[in-house]
Amino acid sequence: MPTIKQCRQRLAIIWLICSGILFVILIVQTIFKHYGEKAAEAWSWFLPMIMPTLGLIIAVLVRDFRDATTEVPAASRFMYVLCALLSISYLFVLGLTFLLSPFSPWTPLELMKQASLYLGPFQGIVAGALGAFFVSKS
Amino acid sequence: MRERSSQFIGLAFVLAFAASVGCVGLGVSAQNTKSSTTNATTSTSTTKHQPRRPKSKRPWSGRCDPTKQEQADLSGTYTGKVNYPDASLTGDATLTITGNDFSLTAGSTTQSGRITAVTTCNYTGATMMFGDLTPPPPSPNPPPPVPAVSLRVRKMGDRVTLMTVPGERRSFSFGTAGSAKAKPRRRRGKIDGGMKAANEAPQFPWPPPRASASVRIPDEFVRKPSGETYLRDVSERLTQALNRAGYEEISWYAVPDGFALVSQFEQCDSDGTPLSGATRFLDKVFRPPLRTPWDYIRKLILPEVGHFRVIVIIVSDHPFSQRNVRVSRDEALAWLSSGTNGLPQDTGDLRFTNAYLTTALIYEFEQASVDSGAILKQPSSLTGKMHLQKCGIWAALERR
Repeated sequence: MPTIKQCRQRLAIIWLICSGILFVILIVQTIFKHYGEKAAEAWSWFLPMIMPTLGLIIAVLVRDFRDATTEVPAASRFMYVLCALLSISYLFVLGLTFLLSPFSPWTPLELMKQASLYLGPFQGIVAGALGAFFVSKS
Repeated sequence: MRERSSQFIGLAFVLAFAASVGCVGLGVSAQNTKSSTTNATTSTSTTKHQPRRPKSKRPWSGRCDPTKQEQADLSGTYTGKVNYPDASLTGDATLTITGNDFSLTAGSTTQSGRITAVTTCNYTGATMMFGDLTPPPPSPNPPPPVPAVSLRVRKMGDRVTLMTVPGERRSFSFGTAGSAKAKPRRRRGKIDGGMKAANEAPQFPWPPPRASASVRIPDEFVRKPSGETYLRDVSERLTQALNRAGYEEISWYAVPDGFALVSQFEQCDSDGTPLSGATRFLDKVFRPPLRTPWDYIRKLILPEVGHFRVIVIIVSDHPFSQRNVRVSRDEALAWLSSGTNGLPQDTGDLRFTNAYLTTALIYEFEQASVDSGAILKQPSSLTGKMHLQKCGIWAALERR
């Protein structure tokens, strides 16, 4: 079983890659005026969806890096798998909001508002699981 | 050490959340700043006054003496529709004129003042001064002068129409309702492709709001090849041309001594070519189906821009300058449904003399993305003639 630090690093990689892709899509859309003069609305929807969790992950990684000499316990397999599955599912659903918008009858901003209905509670569950896993000592 | 680490994580979590909320706030405030700047620009531009054009000198035809002026008596009580946004007077109204005093009531608002009307060569001009004209007592801070509006008056029987003259800064119009008894007139033939003419057409905003492009339609395109041409002939000719160009719904408005013809709100490409089929008259951005992966990438990244257009053809013997007012998409969209479905007979009976000008005003709207609103494009990237050529009206008018 990998150590808790290794598990955190893997989860961090999942989050950084997936949210990085979504960031790039949104940046390119903003550059090409995909949302017209309403780009701020798109960003104000997107940032709260990832920044709290991403901020937590980065903070813990920094702490782990600073505490390199302390002994590292093994991770709980169940918690690790649960966090990984929840994170991948959440980021996948978040990505669908962008990637399926060309097929949707709603406009991109309307679709984002609708997606908040299910992404909000989902984010709460993911953030809870990740918070517990990242703050736990073993 | 462990305790410090936990505190550090907690603090980092709070900071991350605050940062994300801060980013959002920044974005929103940046947008607000931008929109407030835009509003400021708009309000500045709307208050900018057009320099008055020098009055064109028309040669005296000899039929009447332009130096002779007669005071016109407009006394009476008229019921109709008023549009005077400066005093919040809009909608159904009653205008009572007694000598030189008037009182105008719309809803709960009443405005009174003095009106002076003078007739010269069958043209009646009037000045309405709103408010109390009693000279104020001398004081270091005298009150501002009362608002005055220069108007053109048309009085037929017990009906009266008051409309601001070209160059007048304030917007004012009053027209008696269509239910007023009109003098029976001899009907001269068929009007406008068989459509039943209304007794009174609503007034088109005058002077017309600033358009994206305009073009003067040559007289020979609308004049009958032989014999006298009346406005009903011009209307019929324009209707035929618009029908040939694919516009099936048209509406008519009154303008001073003439009419305005409004086309359907249509969607076109950036080069002015109308969209094909039923998508042409869609009032929202047409989103074509995805056929290739490239279509998908384009739709994911690039904005779906919409171009819309309304063509207003004005036939009048009053030269006009366009008012510095921005028309909204909704206003332009409502023009078609608010006009009449035919040319009023009184207007149709007017002779199309050499003084008449036929001008097409093109109001082009651009919607930057499907999530944005459509905004009037000023000026258009195409000329007025190019717009008429692209939509087929020019070719239809050229053809006899």
